[in-house]
Amino acid sequence: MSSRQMILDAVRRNRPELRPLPELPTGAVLSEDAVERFAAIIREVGGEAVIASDASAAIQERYPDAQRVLSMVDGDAFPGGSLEGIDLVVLRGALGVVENGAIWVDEASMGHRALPFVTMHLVLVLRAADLVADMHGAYAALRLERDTPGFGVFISGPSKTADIERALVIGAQGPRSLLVVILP
Amino acid sequence: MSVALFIPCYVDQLYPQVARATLSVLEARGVKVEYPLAQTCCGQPMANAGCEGDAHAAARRFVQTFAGFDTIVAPSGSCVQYVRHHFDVLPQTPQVLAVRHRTVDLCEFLLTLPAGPPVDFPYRVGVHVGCHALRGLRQATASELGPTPGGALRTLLGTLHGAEIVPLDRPDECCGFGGTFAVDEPAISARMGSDRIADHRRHGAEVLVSGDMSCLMHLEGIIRRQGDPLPVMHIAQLLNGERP
Amino acid sequence: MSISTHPEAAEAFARDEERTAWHDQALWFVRAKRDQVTRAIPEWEALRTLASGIKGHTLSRLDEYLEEFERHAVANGVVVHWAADAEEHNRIILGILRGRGATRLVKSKSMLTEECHLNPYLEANGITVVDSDLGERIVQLNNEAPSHIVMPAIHKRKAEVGALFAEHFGTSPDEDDPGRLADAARGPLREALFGAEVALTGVNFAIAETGGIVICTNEGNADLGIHLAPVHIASMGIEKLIPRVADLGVFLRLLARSATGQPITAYSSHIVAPRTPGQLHLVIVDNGRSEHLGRPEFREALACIRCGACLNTCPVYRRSGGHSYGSTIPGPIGAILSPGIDLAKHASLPFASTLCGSCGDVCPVKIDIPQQLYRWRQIVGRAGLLPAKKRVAMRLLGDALGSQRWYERGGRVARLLLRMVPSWLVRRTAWGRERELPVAPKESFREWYQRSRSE
Repeated sequence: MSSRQMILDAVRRNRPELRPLPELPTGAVLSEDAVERFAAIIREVGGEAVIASDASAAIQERYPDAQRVLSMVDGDAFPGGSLEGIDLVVLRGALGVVENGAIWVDEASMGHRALPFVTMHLVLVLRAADLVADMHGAYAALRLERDTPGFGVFISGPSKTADIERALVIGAQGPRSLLVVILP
Repeated sequence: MSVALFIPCYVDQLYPQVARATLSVLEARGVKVEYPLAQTCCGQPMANAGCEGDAHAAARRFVQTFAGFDTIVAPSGSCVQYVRHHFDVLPQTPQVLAVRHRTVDLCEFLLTLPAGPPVDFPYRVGVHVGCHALRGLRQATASELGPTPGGALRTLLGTLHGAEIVPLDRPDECCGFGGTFAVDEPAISARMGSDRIADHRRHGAEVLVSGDMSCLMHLEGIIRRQGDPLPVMHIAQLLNGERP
Repeated sequence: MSISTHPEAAEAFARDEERTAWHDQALWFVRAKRDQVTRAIPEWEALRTLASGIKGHTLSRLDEYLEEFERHAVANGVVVHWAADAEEHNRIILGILRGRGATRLVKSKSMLTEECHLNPYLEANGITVVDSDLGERIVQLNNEAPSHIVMPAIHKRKAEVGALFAEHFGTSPDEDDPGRLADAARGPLREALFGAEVALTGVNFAIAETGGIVICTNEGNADLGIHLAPVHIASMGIEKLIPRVADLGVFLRLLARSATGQPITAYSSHIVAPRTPGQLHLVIVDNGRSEHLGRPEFREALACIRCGACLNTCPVYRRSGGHSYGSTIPGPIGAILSPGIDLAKHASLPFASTLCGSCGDVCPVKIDIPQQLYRWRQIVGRAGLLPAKKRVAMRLLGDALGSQRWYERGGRVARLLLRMVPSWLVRRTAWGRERELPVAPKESFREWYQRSRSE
């Protein structure tokens, strides 16, 4: 018998009686100060956040010395070339979660799946209108069970580690900084 | 209402002063208490050691001894927790269910009674709510569940004039006794105990107070070995007007 | 049979008092951070109940969800493998590597591959394994197992990491700044990730309705590996299933807050289909889990989402270190999972607890860990695996406490002995090594009661 069949048979034999699947919460409503709270929590998780209507000016101001910059905000395709040595990647976030500063980026707006991770610095541009209060609201809005991208990621802050004596180090193997530009 | 007193075995044998204080505190509040001599132990020491079978005789004796009473009061959150939660291995006769339901810890029971005579206790008190009272009986709010512990022991301390509860770095860290854990893992047990004591000392506690003598037996043993006195007392002794 | 038990290993760890104090405080800090962030969520307790309910339901129909998951995953272009045990899991992975002619594997954190002892197996077969998570890399370079499921190198002091990095990454032997040490590892780790042919990850959640998996990480290493390497292998236990994508709303709110006190991990990566071009292999592993599902008293432990909160809160774990458990998963959750794998080997683990109950309170999926510890103790006892001395002592104690006459006689004798025992002898007992015995009174309470109340 295949391992697959053996496992499924054993599970069927040993599973407990049916327990009901709970209903899920639909998510809280956005507070009045959602944008400020979202910006504050991004700072708490080690990122930076600005509210600006001109994203490129904000990016230029924060990263004036970036050499190799890849911006995908206008739905550009990955232009090719090495994935190493990228200073700055700018991506459009589809949705932001106020409770934890997480921003959803899916494959279609990345150009290449590795871009948000290989770059030295990452910028996510997000419309204030695309904020939800919590993760329940995020999944309700994204409807991933219907529109399932091959890959998508919630990004909350830059890469980080606390593996040496629990000391927080911003910039582990991934980006060393994250700037979130919130378009009002 | 008929009230029986259950005195845990080790309190009976090693801390009779705590048992006497318990009896006296109850009587001072007008409770007519019976102390049935047929009682021995709830069975917890054996069961926690993995020998539930060896605990059955004691547990059955407990049920037989206390079956006729409306309330069974014990000055130990740990024993009460054991009776309530772990007598589920006995056949669940109406008698067993009644005994499980009616067994209460002294601290909880006292809060249902009118206040006793006023007592002065002008000391800085280090509070130690035993883990079984804390999480087994939910007598207070564990620090992982909420910022304000509250609870029966602190409420009772609040009735004493002059008693000041010292704040602790870790309000409800386990003392490390744990029944046979104390001898199964002596190094960790003692370390937990000395860490606990250090927290109380750091915050200027003049006396360590608990509703469970088992925690205090362990802590007192460490304190005495350290050679730097810090008295330990059961809450019943304080309510009975005793001083460190 | 000689097996190292928890008390001995714990004592050895605690002998270094300074390290023990640091370890205890470091983990307590994480617990306190967890407390703080959970208090910002008024519906925290309701979330725990929901998570417990979702996991409980999933386990009750796990076979159906596994089949649904597989169906969708295959439709998404994923290659699904089934492994009955660790050996088969390892063989499947070696097969994938050999099929690609790969000689190197980069791994991100996976407790399952630790459980299967994948690294030594692959290395014995000529494959170089690079653990790309910083903590995992530290313990790998030091030839150790992780001592914590979320913070693998929490038992290591920064100076020790400095010495290790001086040897491997050429940093100054005096360097002990965590930021500079992490930075020194960044270069070589990124280099390994950029050159990877095959990248392996664990799985935090597997979603039946989409066939997708979710991986929660902070360092970025997992995503670097899987999006750069042409082949991604994901290893998952059968218990990682959840029914719906939207269930993630519950679990992602609970996981990082419970684990590290973060509101969410830096990356919550949802992988559904392999990238083009690229391959995604999923290895679904049983290794004793289906058997554990058949243990009504203990099956609830399969709901564990590996947050490590029970380790951080456990006063015993904090003072004894993860390695003292001698099991892949240490701490309270390890103490209730490991006896199901090898009862004799792990017989001391259910006793490595005071039953203080804090683990059950912090568990985001509400596993009643204290109750399971208590139940495992009874199984160990019934299996005859208790030390003979304890077994005899408990039998005698149980007999004495079952009879009023023997209780009273025994009490008198015990008090007499307590008063007579010389202090040098006390110090040679487990109780008396660091504690005094209680001062035994001449008269018990019941003797006093009979004397004073009989008239």
